Amino acid sequence: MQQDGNLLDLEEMNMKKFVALALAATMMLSMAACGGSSTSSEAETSSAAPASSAAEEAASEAAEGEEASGAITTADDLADKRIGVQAGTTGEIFVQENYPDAELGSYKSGMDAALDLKNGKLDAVVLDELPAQSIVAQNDDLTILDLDLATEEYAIAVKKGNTELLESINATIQRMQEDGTYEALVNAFMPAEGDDAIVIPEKVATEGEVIKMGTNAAFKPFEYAEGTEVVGFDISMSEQIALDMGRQLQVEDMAFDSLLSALDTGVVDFVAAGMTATEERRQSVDFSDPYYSSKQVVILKK
Amino acid sequence: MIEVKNLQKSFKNLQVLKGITETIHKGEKVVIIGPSGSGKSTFLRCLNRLEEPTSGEIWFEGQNILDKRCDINKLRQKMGMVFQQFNLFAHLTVEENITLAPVKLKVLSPTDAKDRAHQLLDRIGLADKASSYPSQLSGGQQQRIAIVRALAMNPDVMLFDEPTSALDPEMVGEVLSLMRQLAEDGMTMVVVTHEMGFAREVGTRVLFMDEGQILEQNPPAEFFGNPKNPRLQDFLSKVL
Amino acid sequence: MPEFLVSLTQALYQNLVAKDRWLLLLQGLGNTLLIALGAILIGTVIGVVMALMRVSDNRLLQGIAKVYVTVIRGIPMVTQLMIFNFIIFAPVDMPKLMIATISFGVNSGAYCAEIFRAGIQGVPLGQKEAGRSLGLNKTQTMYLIVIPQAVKAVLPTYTNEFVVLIKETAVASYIALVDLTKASDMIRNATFNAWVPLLAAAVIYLCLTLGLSHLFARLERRLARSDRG
Repeated sequence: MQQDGNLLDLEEMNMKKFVALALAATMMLSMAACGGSSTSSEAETSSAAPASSAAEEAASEAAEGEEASGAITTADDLADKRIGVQAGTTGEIFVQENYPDAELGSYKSGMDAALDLKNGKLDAVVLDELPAQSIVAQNDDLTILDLDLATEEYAIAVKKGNTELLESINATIQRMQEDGTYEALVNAFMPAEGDDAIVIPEKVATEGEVIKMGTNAAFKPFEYAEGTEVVGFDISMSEQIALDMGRQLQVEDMAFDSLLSALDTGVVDFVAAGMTATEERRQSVDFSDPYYSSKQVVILKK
Repeated sequence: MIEVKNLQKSFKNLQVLKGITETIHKGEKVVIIGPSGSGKSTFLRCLNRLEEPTSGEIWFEGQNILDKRCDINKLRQKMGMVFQQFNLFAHLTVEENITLAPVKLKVLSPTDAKDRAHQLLDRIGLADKASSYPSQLSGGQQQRIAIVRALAMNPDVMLFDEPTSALDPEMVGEVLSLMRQLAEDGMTMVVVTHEMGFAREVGTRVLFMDEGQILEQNPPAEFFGNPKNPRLQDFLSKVL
Repeated sequence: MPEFLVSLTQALYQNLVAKDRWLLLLQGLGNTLLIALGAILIGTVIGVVMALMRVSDNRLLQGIAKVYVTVIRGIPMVTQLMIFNFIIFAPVDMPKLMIATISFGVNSGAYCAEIFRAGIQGVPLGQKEAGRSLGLNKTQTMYLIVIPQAVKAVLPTYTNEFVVLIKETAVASYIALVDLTKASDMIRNATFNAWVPLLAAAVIYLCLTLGLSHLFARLERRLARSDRG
């Protein structure tokens, strides 16, 4: 009997906790709801009072647009803004380290972040220059602000200690730069006329034992999906690496923030994904010689 | 009290009741017998519109219950029904089963309903089961409580739909004896059953139904002693 | 100390203790719970309404409920989440947490509706007939007799839906929300260690789901006990 009574007490306690949690959740939700509606009403009142609701919408949209692009002109302006990045990129680390007060949104791809920027849910997106240019080229209402935030160099990552693979990758990069393959690839994937002028080189057939390359196909022009194929600068370069090694290239497309753990656990042999060789990453993987210089830029709504 | 005029009922293409005309007077104990599938249960269930008739008229205490303007819920309060499967409310105690309808329909106050429930339970000797749940009771106990539940509404007529068919044989007696008491108290009753002994002893009139029609009806002595319709003769020779 | 223990301790420290990373997991867990709790509340309300519509006599209401359940259950949660974030609520200034809670709630509503419908239709017809024969009307019969019995019957599947919902919220990071999964991703991202953050998240999810299942099982036993008096 005694035991039974204790059990019941415990149950009651659990129930109480549960109810309290539920209550807290409801309260927080309703508070969040109030917060959301009050901001939107502020936005409405701050715009002039036009006659028609359509005009009002346009006006408040314009006001929002002004607020976003008008406010950000220098790197310091980003400090308290809502900033979108692609998960696991140097852009994310850069914002985390330099703008601790900013409201950071970490997306699966730069394009998703840009979408929320267009929808007015972000004030800015920080992304690598070339993919940022690709996105802006496809979206008339977006523009790039180059604030010289951070320059960085892309390199290929291998598992720490895999010097054999690293050396042959470096040899291929050097060979490509010497025999003009590298320049041809740059011309093909980064034409001066913009993305529309990209000419995808023919796929190079590779054979032999499979070598797996990890990438994230949401980073034009380095890697992106074209039809059912993953193509891009990094893919073409990896084909050359596999060719030189006499191995068959297999491309594994996965989330960017899963790439290095995939490398660590041996799911892929190397990672070529427009990845910047940062000091922090160097502690857990080895990087090849850099093959491309890039920088972080800010995408804004016009 | 109940007047049925040319009652018809079809399920899709199957005609179950083929025009029944019948009058049941106050105080009568009408027993309906017949082979299974003869439409006797359907007929009974039409009387309080648990089954929606296809055509015809049913008058109860001066109102046509098939009329759209008639408040069937009000009329059902005056027509108690007892089912083959008891259908006690599984989530309620015996007492709650009995008091639910009278209280919710404002026929009795909660206290009066409780008093009445205990009085009725006393009468059937199940007062100690007031706070039990149906699943804890035997079939015979459940069916007697189902009868009492209907009685709590103080109905003018009681409809019994094969009240003993789902019971183990040793429990049939207690239910029939309660029904017999009810008859002695003067309750108007319409009973669909296979219990020929009950029909003979308690019934004031026995109806034989087959293939959706009433083929013969008489007081029990005549009905059982001198059946005229060949199908009734055949039926009785099988069941007696 | 053996070498593997040293490296394990180091990995644990690096991934959970250093830079207060456990706080990130805690914050993620908080969001996961908020979304799941809010969603089950919304889902329950929608589910009840839809289930009642589904068992009503009105063909139109039945149809609406049917379409709702079919459409929502036919689309993967993550797709719905992105539709809500990038399309439906695109013009609305609303916290991400709210958007996620609403999307998961709308999704759960369809599953709840089916659970409740099955519960209501699972109550024997005789119970309804007994109610009606006593003079109770349709609504009274529904609320006094059918629903109380249905509630008891659906409790195990309903509580299971909540447990399923907690696991489903793992896709919240698709709209840049930091839930438990995303928090472990972020740690993984900073330390490049796959083992510790993923297994930590897994253990937390497991504790949560097992704990809740256990709690609900007790609740059910208790209700069953009242059944027997």
